[in-house]
Amino acid sequence: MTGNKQRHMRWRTPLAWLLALCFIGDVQASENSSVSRQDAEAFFRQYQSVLAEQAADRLTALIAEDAELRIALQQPDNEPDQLFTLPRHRFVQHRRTLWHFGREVRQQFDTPRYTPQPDGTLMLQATETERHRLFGQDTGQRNEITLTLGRRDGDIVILTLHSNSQLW
Amino acid sequence: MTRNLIVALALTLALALVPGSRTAYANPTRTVCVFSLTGVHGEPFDTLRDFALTSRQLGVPLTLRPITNERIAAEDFQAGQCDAALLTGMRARQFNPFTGSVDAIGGLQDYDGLEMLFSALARPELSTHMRHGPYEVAGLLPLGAAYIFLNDRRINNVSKMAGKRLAVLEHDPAQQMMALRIGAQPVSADVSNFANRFNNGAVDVIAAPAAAYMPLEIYRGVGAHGAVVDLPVAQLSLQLVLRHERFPPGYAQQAREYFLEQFPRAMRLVYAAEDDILFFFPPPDADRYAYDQLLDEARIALTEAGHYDPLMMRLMKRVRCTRQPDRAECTDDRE
Repeated sequence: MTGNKQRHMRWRTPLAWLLALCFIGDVQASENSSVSRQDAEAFFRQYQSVLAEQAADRLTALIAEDAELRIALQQPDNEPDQLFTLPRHRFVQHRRTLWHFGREVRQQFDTPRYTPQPDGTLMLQATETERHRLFGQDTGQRNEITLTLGRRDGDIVILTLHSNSQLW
Repeated sequence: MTRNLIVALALTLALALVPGSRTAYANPTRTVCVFSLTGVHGEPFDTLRDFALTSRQLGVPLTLRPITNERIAAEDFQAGQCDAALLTGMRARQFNPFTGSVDAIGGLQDYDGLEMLFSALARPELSTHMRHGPYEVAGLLPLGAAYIFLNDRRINNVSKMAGKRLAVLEHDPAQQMMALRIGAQPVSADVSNFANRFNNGAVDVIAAPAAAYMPLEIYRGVGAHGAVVDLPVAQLSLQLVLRHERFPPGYAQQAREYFLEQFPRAMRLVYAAEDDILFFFPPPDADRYAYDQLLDEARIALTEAGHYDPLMMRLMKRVRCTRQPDRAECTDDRE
């Protein structure tokens, strides 16, 4: 009986240490996983530069692979918006192919708004407008975007993107 | 004894001289009419060129004859001017309704399902279905899904297709029926001119694989205000059809296994082509189910009308239900 107890004690101490370490690690991970306003501002600068440089691969890297990407596309003739859910590769494809076929691409971003969320993520709202010449016509798109930024493997990425979009 | 030997030799010689009695080994070089819009350049000609090397190892050297007009390729094959032909599944349907139904409307919605189907078709157990009269399908290659290309994004649901001019391939009654079903105005076309008609505004809507997008400059027809619906309407294929009596026994089965191995190679091209499409949007979330239902109803109606092979439809349904057991159709008995 005494032997058993000693054996238990011998195991219990390292186990307790291990649990304690896990707990501390968890707290640290939780702190590291939150996105601060400064982080989000840096992210948004990066996002703008990726779009300005038309770097599709880098745009892909800014979006979580399983990100929820939903576009409410404004319809003509006062019809209700149509809602589309896109996988990441199709979302990036839309931008990439526009850059490929378009000429004189110009982008503009309005002042972004940052709202930290209780779960450590951060909501970023902005409006981006892209104008281009496409097949000889002046066309473009305006996206009122709401992004949820979070961390994956230490990097800040877009976890959700909801956009009210207009193509013309 | 000597007399018997002489008689046997005489009979052998006589048989060899009778037209039609020659075996596949008498003159092993065989001609393949290869439908290829781009002639000897690029795919699918390159794949056939590689297959010709394998075929030589199987004892059948091949002469490849590129033909840019599919109708002519099929007619030359039917007239016996070629021993085999590489044709689209829709065109090959006349030679084998079973495999020719792989391209059925709404048949399969993803490429994993298509690979599953092609793997099944390459199994020896299904070899009897690969033969139809004098013809045998000796290989299938994916050409990619057919998508709907629109010249106007305001055509944002099926009901707005009503009255629009829709190019339909003249040799595929299924497309004409589908056009009428959605109230569109079918405009007869063929593989060599449908894209031009779309690009110059003679038609508003076409269905095409992504592989045609860049070579045929379909982006010009879509323009700045069109769209491409990211929903596979049908899975298009290329099929090698041969006159089986002109090939050694077992050749077609070996060829089918060869072409199955080429599936990933063909898919790399398909994915690359799909990545190039501008304004490639899925159906709106709210309409997704309605689109699926429309395609399912069309396929069932076309099967009932005799355009698609019922056994292939059952096989495809089994694939769909293996991949997505919660589909509503998996509990019904309609296919």
